[in-house]
Amino acid sequence: MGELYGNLAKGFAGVVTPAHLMAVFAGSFMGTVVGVLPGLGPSATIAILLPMTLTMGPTTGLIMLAGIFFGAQYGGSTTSILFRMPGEASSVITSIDGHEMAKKGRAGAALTASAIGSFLAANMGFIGLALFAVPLARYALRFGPPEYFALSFGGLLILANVSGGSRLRNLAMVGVGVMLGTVGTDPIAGALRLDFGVSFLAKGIDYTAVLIGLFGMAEIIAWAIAGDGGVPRMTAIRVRDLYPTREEWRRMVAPIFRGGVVGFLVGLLPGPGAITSTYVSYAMERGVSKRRDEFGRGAIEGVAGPESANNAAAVGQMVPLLALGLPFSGLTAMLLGAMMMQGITPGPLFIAQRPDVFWVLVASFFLGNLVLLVFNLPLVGLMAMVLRVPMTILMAIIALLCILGTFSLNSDFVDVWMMLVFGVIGFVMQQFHYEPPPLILGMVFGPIMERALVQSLLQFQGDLLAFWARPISAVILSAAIAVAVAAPLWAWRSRRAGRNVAGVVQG
Amino acid sequence: MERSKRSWWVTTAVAVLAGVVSFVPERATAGEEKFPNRPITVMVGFGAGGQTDIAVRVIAKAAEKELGVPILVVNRPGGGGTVSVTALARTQPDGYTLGIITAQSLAAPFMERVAYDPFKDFEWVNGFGRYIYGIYARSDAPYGSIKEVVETGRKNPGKLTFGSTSLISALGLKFVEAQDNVKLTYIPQKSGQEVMTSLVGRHTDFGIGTPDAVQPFLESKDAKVLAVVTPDRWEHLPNVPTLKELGYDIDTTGWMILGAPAKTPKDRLEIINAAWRKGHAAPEVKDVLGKLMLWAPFTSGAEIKDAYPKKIAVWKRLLEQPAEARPK
Repeated sequence: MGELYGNLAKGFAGVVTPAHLMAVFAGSFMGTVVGVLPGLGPSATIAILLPMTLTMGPTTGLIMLAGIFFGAQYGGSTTSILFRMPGEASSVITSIDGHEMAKKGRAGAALTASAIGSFLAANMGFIGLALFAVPLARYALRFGPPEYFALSFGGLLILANVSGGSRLRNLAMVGVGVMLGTVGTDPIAGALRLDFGVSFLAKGIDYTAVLIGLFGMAEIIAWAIAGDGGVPRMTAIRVRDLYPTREEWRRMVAPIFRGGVVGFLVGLLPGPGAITSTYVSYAMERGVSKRRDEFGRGAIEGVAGPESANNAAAVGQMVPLLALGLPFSGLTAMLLGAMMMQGITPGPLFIAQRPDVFWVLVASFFLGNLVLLVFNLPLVGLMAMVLRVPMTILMAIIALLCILGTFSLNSDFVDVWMMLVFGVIGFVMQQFHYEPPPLILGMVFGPIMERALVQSLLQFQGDLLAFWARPISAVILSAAIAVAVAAPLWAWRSRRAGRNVAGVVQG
Repeated sequence: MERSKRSWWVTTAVAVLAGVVSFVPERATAGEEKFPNRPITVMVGFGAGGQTDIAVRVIAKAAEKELGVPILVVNRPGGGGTVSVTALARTQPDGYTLGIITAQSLAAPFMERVAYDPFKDFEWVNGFGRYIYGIYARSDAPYGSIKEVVETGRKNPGKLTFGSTSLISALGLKFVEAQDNVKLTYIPQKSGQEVMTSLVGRHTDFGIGTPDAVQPFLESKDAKVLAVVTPDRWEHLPNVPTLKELGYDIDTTGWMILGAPAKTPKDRLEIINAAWRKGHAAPEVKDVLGKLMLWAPFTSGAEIKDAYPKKIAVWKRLLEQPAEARPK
């Protein structure tokens, strides 16, 4: 432990230089903004800024990029809560309960829960990173294609169970999402499918465009048709609406802690750790909560848990990158690229050989996290007040942002048309009570699941049972299938019991 | 809010929107005055942060100064580079969109239905980097050379797995398979890092990748290099034989090619080529490319185009064998 303090002390000493401090602030600020805006995400921003980091010193550039990476996890929840328009896929789950809270006037409380949870969980993650980076990373290596498949498949099954609304409809939406994910080139060999000979489908459907359309545009269309007019959502914000009540604070604690642990561990694993961690956390919170029926209607646990999880997961993704030089996600791959451009080769010996870089980075993470909290908390009041702006103006601005954001993805207008089409689809779905989160997450995980499945089958020479020959995938798959089968049975039983009780009371 | 105030707002919003929209540049018309006079896009068929992506980004940044307009690097990953190449074949041949063509895209037509002809649909501007591959195994693996791999492979047909990002880079091992009549299993993977993760995590037995991917694992003694699939031995690993020395006459070094859609005017291509060459030669670029361990000679598109058909014939023969890796 003494060594840890020593290293951290050196790290903090190293981080307090003008250049590094500026990098922390700039990165955190940019990350938050980018997380709030639809479409423009941390990956695009980091990709654009990559060559610029060449001129900065080795560590400075990394600090800035990491700041963007973490900042985006803070920003994504804002629009998710206020308008049910997640800026990133990792904020989709937050929108479920977060927006319900906003509709009840508890937007400020939700935003605060999100910020505090993110801060605390990220710190938990940093401690995990500082203490256990190498052994954790080595453990994560044991996850191969069969495990990714188990995680994605199991995750989608769990997801169908926890999103609000009918289980069957959610499963259907997951299926639709997975099908949409198959349009374009297959992840293994690049063969074309479902492209109908049309070139714009050959490159697949960008899921961020669908995300923006399904959530953003659909909301706008729904509002426009409902014809509420220019009346703002909230006419007055009382101070106590801005912050959580004592009861809410109390309820937040455990979900934040659990979210931090789950998020960090899930983020360690290959795949879109931040997204997966959110719905694992949501499922967990719903599972252990005594207020299960509040979920989907504004339970603060449903905001605190997932938001903490996705920040901890961002830290978790750093672990294999820094401990072994193995990036498990696109974002961390870019950070790897940035390091290589500076002649820093991350690898198993990185922490040992370059403690000057590693500990300064870790110190910058702690510092950046604090900056983000200080930056985001006062913003809560400001953000909540956005709800006082007349809807005509607000919706117009959001519509513009949606279009610009979608276009910024690939500088391709086809994405914008896709977004608009899915806006209509999302509106229709809403009318028939089909929830959007399963569809989007199906699109995200479908290709991952497919590639993992094909790789596993190649390895097993076609033997499906081999999934159960490996301990990790066996456990995950069995658990997921058990939950998928048991949950509807349980619900059916309690409905029957309820009817019997009612019969007895009446009869 | 009262009606007059609301209509004021609406009018202002529409006016602002109209103003913004009017600034969007119109599509270039033929017979334009000066080329280039708006940003140029380069599509990279691989994920951001990878060797190709970084090389393109740093060269683009240096070439921007020569061209006088920004160069936007856009990632269109998928299918080993084929998604990007397909998109490139369909863009306007006005010189404002370019893309990276690699060996996988050139060989893809033998393996599945693709929507482009690699030779007819593109102008090959130049080649600015070469992909070199090595065959890696874990350091505790029971085989120390390709010969031992073949022996083990013969005793356990289909059990030994190897991963790589494209069938082309894996051709070295496929050639060994064909020549020595041994059956290995190929696992397609998304990136050089996934290849290493899979190898070190004991999910595949071999990995085929570029030198930068294996370097940190060589240093930490997690991995070793069995052979290199280049014409000559690698300078920093003088003890590792080339596949050619071992008796397998295959060369899978492919070029990183800067391409444009067919029928792009030659004079515009020349301007691009000159700028790219200057960017490629810039000292800070050479520095980064060295750090990426990328072998980066520069050559003209015409030279490569002439040499490729012969090379591809060898690949074609290998790939068109009734191979288990060939999707229907």
